[in-house]
Amino acid sequence: MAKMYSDSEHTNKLDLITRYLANEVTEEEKSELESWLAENESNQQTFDQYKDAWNDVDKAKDQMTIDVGAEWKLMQAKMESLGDSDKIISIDTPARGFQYSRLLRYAAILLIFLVSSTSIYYYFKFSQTTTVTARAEMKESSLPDGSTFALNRYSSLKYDKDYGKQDRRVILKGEVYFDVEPDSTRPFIIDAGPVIVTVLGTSFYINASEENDLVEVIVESGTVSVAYKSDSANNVVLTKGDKAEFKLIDNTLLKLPNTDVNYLSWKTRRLVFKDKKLKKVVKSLNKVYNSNIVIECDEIKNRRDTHTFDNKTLEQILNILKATHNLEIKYSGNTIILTREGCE
Amino acid sequence: MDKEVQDRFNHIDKSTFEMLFNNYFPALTSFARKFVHDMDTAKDIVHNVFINFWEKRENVDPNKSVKSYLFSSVHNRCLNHIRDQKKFDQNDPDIVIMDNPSFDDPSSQMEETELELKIKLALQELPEKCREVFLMNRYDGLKYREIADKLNISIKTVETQMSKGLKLMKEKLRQYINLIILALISWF
Repeated sequence: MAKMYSDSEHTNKLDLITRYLANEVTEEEKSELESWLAENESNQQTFDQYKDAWNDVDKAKDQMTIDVGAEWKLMQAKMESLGDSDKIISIDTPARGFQYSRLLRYAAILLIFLVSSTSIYYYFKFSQTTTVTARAEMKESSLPDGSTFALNRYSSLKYDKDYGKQDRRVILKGEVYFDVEPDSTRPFIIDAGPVIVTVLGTSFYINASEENDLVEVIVESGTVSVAYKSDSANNVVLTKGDKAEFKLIDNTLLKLPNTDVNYLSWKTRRLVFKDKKLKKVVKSLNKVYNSNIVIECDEIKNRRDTHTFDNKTLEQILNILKATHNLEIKYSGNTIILTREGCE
Repeated sequence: MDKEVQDRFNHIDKSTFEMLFNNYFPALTSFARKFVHDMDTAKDIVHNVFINFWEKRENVDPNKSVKSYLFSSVHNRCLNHIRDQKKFDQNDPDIVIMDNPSFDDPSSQMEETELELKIKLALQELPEKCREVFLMNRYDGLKYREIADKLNISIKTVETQMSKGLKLMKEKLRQYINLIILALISWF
């Protein structure tokens, strides 16, 4: 009888301890447990062991929750593509994109890996490819048919010797602004990672930087179609003022109104701020001027600014901000610090 | 980790590769995650290590341990990633990268990874119903009441399963902790 009693008492305590750790106890039960712990050292030790085990379970969360099956499918797709670089970057056969359709949701993520790992194959394979790359500076150039483009820093555009024969195909990495020569017989087609952008003659902007988790297309004039490479039924048609966003995470393609007035500032050097916080202003300046401006205190970061800067140098802009917001400018290496007296 | 998994480089065919992938992917990703910012970067790094391993499977030292190769490759790629990020982020005031000297000696990160693995094995050994209830509470953050409603069982049953889960985990982990030090010796 005594043994049974002690077992059931133990079970009760275990339930109480578990509920305590799971935060499922009433105030009364909490004090009941606390007084039990205070009774002797061995109770406290028992409790500590349960508590350690409870907390240890958290540590395995990453390993337990990774979907290995999904990751393996992704790996298999990559293994299949090895040694057959044609599959990876489709340049002259639109149908090739459809080979990815069975990969469905992995295709977009996959493409990002493959582009980098196979760029060397690709480089040798299409030795008659022209590549225009902008590194530290924005670059403006033109294509054989007279279409012009501006590449933002760290972006590149490729086209091969067949450009303009039947159609006008280019491969983009990064950010670009196109001004396309109208030619309804030869469509202008941009391979921008997971999406294909098709146009007849227009000007528009694409951001297909690999580090972004989305591809953006913004149209300034004309009509542009944006389609998911693996499923051309997944497409939107854009006209002036529209923006398409392709999200790599779930392959969704959305059409939205464009609200960013500064999307082309890297090309035009025209920046418009309407009641924007200074931290946002600085972020835009850093992007456009490739600068490293930091703000020293929160008070300054959250001040609001309204200005239009048209083709100004960074120094001119900083001087205007300095006068408007009563700032001090300090230089430290290549870092520009905006501060003010009383700032920490 | 698993005695049945081939731990040498010779004759790595696709099914062996798949087994290695399934066995090591979660642990390697969690290991990488201790060095890099986010889960996606960690996964990318591990994917790249595996694809590189697959490409080179015929050209590597057949006497080397696969496990040791995989973990040291992931470690090297993480260090490269951190180095590249530093260059890249110089212009971004929002990103602060901590210099952590312990990165050069990954043994504490490996020890942690190994412990996680033991915990994972212990969890996998729980009776199915018990594990389901236990993890709904611990990982999905559901209250006893919510679990009971979801699984259409009584709160009392949830409580019983929770207590059982905790008790078993306590017992299993006590056994496992002693094995960790031995397992580490073979890693590098």
